[in-house]
Amino acid sequence: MLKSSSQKNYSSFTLIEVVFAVGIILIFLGSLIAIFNVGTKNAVVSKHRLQAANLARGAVEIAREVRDTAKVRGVNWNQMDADCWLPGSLSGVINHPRNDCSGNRLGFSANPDTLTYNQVTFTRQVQIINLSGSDTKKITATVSWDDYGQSHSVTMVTYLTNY
Amino acid sequence: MGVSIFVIVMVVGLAVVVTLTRNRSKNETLSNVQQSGNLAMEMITEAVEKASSIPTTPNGSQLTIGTKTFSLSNDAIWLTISGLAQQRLTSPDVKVTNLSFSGAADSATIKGYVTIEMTLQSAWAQSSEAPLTLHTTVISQL
Repeated sequence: MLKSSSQKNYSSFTLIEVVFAVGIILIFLGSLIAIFNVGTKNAVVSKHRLQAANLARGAVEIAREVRDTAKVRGVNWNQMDADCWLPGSLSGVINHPRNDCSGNRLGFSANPDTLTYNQVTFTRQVQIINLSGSDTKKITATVSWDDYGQSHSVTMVTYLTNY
Repeated sequence: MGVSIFVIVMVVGLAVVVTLTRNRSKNETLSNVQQSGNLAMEMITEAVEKASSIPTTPNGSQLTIGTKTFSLSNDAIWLTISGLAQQRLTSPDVKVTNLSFSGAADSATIKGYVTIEMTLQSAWAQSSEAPLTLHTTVISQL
């Protein structure tokens, strides 16, 4: 004997099951957004890292430029231009690149060197350490900045010889 | 009730898809701009490093080192070698809004140097997207 339609036993989801399923879906979608937001933040940090790397390279080049200018002038690089460059006495001290030395020269000073691009401020520091007496110097350029409340930095190291 | 939940899930899902697509597009654009800027900067710094001297004070948006001339034109950075046809260094998808050179020429009292600054952004950038500014200093190493 056939059952009538009113007697059919429909199986359906309960409200709790539906809410539970929707909750899982929303958590999954939220996680996806969070992961991609991390990706976007990383892309921005990567962009600033490229900017910082170029600034660090520039700082190292400034040290090289000072050494070569000493060479051009035929003076000892440890006695080079007291107003901008005294690596002999400033060994190990953090210095900052500057471009306002006399005669359009580049050099270093004790004052912080900051550059701001699109509301992001980069700070450049250079540490000069004498090695092997004073004929070799270790130049460490560090550029630091903040992204999303976190501090980041790029460091570049080179060795300059009094050739 | 069931229809309401279905609509909510669909709206949220659609928002997620739109957000993901927009972020992916933004990341690709940013990467494209970075690669273009990096390539152009590398080309210019390499030319300066390999130059025997910096004969004239770098100034403005054009730099001539030996036979190579770097310049800004039509929102792009161009390289001309020995006056031959220009080669485009930046992608057509990238707009260069600023290229400037400064520094000093070689002299009896100073070793010449070139300070380079360039600002790039996507050619299709929305006004909210921050441009990329690259700044460095380089000297000849010969």
